[in-house]
Amino acid sequence: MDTRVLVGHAVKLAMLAVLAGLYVTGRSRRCYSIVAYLWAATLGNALTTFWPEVFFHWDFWVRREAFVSILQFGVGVEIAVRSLRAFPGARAAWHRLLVASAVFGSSLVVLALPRGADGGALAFPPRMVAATVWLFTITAMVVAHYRIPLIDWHRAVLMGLTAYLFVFTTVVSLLAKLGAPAFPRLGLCDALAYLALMGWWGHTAWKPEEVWDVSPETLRVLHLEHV
Amino acid sequence: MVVWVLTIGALSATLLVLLGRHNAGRIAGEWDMMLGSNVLQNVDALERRCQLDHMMADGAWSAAQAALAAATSSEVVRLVDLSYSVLEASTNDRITRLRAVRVCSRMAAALVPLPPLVPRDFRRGELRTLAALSAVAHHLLVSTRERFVMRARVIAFGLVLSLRAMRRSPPSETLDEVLSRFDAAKADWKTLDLAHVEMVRALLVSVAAVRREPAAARS
Repeated sequence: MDTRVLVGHAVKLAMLAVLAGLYVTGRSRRCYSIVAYLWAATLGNALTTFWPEVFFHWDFWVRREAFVSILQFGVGVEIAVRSLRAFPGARAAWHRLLVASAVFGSSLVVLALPRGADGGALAFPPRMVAATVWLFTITAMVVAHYRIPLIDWHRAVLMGLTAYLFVFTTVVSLLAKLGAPAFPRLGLCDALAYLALMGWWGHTAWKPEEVWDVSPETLRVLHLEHV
Repeated sequence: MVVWVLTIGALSATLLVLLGRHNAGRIAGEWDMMLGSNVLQNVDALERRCQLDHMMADGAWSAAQAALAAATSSEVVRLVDLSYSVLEASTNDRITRLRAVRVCSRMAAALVPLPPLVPRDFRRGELRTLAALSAVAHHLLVSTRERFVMRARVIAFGLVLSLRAMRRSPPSETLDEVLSRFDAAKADWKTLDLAHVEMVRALLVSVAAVRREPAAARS
């Protein structure tokens, strides 16, 4: 069997293990968009590994990545909204940063960069990824500055996805530079990085939630009750 | 494309550093200290501890005065040194707490406004000058949080200045002059200590007000 298909099956199993862990421990209620993202990624993976002759082609990959990128962005928004809902000052700062970034970022993309100048279809994912990672970073900055307690699952999602997205962008960048012949090898690197991410998420999803030495009243006020 | 890779790399590194150092348990503990039902007990406990420090320093100081009356200068020096040790150890504790107060002030959506330090509350000239400068800066700053943070910094600096005044002993000064300076610096230190407790109380009250917001919104 082709190594890439083998890794693809392993990723699929790992994603199902993560989802099972989320449902069993109740963490699925901590962030609904990550569950939607995992189901979408599992479905996309299953389609390409079980019916490669139909779905293993460039157009499907680009569309799948675009859809998954939007879900990833949604993950960032949901984690930020959930983490900051009990903190009005931090939430206001996050809103301000987000609006400023949206105005500045969109102006930069629209005005400074000629459309489609660097890679056609490959130009979309890095921009969407940059927006997602920027959103995650803004959230992380607000969390650190305002001393917001972030639950372990949200922290693992933000850190893991960010690290993986960096690998993904590098792979896409190399693809744009080297062309289609590099796709098998680079695709394998990407799949292995994704497998490592699923391994970490699986570990976090299955382990019991951290118990803090905090009164139930405070946990309730901060919306951090155990699930 | 390289620009995107570098941008995402820099952002990823920032995020990984920020969240890698994140200790949710410790932060939740800090929030619990401020939001828990025993907020006022925490302040009372702090106030009692401060009073105990004052009593220990004052006790050693009174004993030194008595020794001075009995003309045993070596005993006076030993007892003043004891009083100084108490205040020196307490100063580190206060500075650490004031640093935490500054950081935790970000947790509050709004802060209880505190008045500036009053120069006439201090006996030593340098502390009076510091208080006067901070009072001017207080009126120049815009937000309550900025004033709050500046007040915490001024108190911490004032504590260090007072301690330095207690420690200094120029050869030209007589024992009476040294003791008089020590007494004035000790009194200033106590004034600043009470101001520090007031800051902790203001912060706790401000942060605890957050939990009343949802209830107020529902009503």
